[in-house]
Amino acid sequence: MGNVIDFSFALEVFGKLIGYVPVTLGLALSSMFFASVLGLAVMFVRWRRIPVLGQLATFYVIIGRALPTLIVLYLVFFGLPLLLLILSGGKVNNGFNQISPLVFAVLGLTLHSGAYLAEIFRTAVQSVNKGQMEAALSVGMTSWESFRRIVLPQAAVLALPLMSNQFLGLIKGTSIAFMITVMELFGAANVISSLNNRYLEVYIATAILYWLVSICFEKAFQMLEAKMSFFKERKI
Amino acid sequence: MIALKNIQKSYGDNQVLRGIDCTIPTGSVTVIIGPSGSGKTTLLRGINFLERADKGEIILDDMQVDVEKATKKEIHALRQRTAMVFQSYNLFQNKTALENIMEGLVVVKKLTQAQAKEKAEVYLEKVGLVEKGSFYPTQLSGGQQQRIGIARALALDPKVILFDEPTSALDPELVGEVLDTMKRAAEEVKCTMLVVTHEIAFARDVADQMIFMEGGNIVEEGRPREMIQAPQEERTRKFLSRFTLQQAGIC
Amino acid sequence: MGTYFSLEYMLESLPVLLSYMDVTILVTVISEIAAMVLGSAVALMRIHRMPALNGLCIGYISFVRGTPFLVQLYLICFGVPQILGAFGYADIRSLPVLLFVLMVMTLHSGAYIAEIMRGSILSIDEGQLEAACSIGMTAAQAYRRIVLPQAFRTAIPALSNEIISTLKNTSLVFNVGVIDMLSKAELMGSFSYRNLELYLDVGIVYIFLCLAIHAGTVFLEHGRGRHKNQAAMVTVE
Ligand SMILES: Nc1ncnc2c1ncn2[C@@H]1O[C@H](COP(=O)(O)OP(=O)(O)O)[C@@H](O)[C@H]1O
Ligand SMILES: [Mg+2]
Repeated sequence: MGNVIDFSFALEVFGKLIGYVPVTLGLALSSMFFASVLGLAVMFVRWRRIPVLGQLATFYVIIGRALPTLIVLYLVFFGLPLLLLILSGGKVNNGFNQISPLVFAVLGLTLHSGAYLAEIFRTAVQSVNKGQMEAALSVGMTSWESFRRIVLPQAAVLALPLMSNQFLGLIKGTSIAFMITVMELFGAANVISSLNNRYLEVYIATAILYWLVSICFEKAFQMLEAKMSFFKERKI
Repeated sequence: MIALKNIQKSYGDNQVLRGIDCTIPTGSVTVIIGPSGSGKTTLLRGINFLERADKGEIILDDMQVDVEKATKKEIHALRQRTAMVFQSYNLFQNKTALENIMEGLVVVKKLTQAQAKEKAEVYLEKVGLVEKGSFYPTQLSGGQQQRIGIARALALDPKVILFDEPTSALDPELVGEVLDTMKRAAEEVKCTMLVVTHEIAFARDVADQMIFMEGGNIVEEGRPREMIQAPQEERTRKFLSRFTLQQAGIC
Repeated sequence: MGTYFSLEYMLESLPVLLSYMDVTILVTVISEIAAMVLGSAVALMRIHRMPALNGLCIGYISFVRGTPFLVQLYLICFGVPQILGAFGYADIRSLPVLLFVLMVMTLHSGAYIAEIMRGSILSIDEGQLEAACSIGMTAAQAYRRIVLPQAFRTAIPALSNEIISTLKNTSLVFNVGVIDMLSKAELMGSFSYRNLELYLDVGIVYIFLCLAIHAGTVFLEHGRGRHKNQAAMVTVE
């Protein structure tokens, strides 16, 4: 009974695992950055209704949101080397073993989140009052200027709550990267637990770390939202 | 001077503008009246290419634009020379009152920030809202927002300002301040104005020309006082009767 | 190209993998039904600020939303046997893993559903509850017959998203020993080395299931929007 939880072991594990939090955060932040760029591009292509590209973008958004993260990661992990192999006519054969699995993970997580962000951005742009664009055009701005200076900043604020939600999801989603051998927080937890044949302590420590990180970011986003919504409904 | 030649526009089978011709001399004020659905908004939006009309010509001083064939460049040039005041104000929600006026000056007229600020403050003064410069639109009343909207338009020195029912979304007690602002714009700035409104008193006191539209046609045009007192067309008389009755009741 | 990628193998494997789809659907359906009950209960406890329980619910929701599903899955599936073992249950490995998985998925989804339901219950006009009580219903009756049905209706889109997210989470449960499409794909891949083909198959199945849920939601929203249509008609008159 006394050995249900070994506290000193738990504490020791906690200390070890903290070292992997930066990996998890790095994965989440870089994927979020690339996914935002991708999502913006996809949203823009759909917004301008660019032929072919627009349809492709819509297809990507539907498929990207229907696939589990793990499958996306697997498809990138197994598919990308093959794709390059085929495109190069068999020349680029080796060398994939040298590519860090981190690269595949960031790519996979980017593709996955990008689809969600594209949809978030699209909804946000759509919910900006149409009159804003018209007023900007009537002042003599080009449609690009109107979009960039008037519509986009307002859409960004509208998108903020959903974006922060997406990022919080991404932090948790990075745990799936261990399946393609990335040594992030959860991957490290798995190694430690199986080496010591003790699970409860390790996964509790892991959960607490994720929880703390999530809470910190949640609070930060709440503060950011409060700061950014200066022009939304705040009647005097 | 702005002139429209045979402007036509249909939505599907619904012919909304059936060939509109009119001329507005520089520095004059023209008021358009007419029942709801007669195509007034469509006409103004057509001039600014927020909606492209099907046919016709728009002449703005030395510029001549064929609506059907207008290029992106022509549309942009036209928009740079016109300005619009919207029924729902449409102030940029992410900008303060002052920044709303500055925005077009910086982006379109390419003034420096400092120049734009200086000019914007002048116009803020003209509409009597100097102390509201740092307020966001949601912090202003409807009347104040619309006055900023007018300042935003005036500051661009446009050849013509298009007003689409600028006071119809306002609470009655706020209508006066906006009409006063428009009146001052007409008298002091000598701005060319095309105004859709149902404020007959404003038309009578400020406008040089009045147009009555119905069913996509101009039914009658003339000097406001004469038209209000003695409309030539039966349809104009009918439409105006409720306003004159209203005014008779008030006076 | 055939040496790198075999369409034939992909098509051949699809029916094999499809035969494992029932596990995926079963796990999703059972845990989601249980999660709806749990989530609604938690939502009501929170709305009524039941002492002690309210705080517990807040902690539970925060924990589930703040930690990855995988961690929760491993915590229960590997941690609970360790506890049981410490108390002397020797036979822990014989407990069906599916039971643990269903428990985790229910607890996980239940927290998200609690937040969804709380939001939609709060969005229902308080007058509805008062009206129901005024004709003599008990609070329980009023909730079951008047408030909750309306709350479920407003929550349909969000609940549908939650079901889809639960469905996608099933792609992770093979890690703790559930035999499903992914464990089969992994097994087949270790012989054929054609993992890409196999995972494409699994991906197609998931896409199909997601779109099916989505279509069902749209149908439900349009087919059952009676209240709203009537309201619109009244205002037109
Ligand atoms: N985007 C549109 N699509 C279809 N019909 C429209 C559109 N905009 C306006 N209309 C129609 O054009 C007619 C004139 O509208 P509008 O110009 O707004 O009239 P007014 O401003 O004089 O009230 C109306 O019958 C209206 O239904
Ligand atoms: Mg109108």
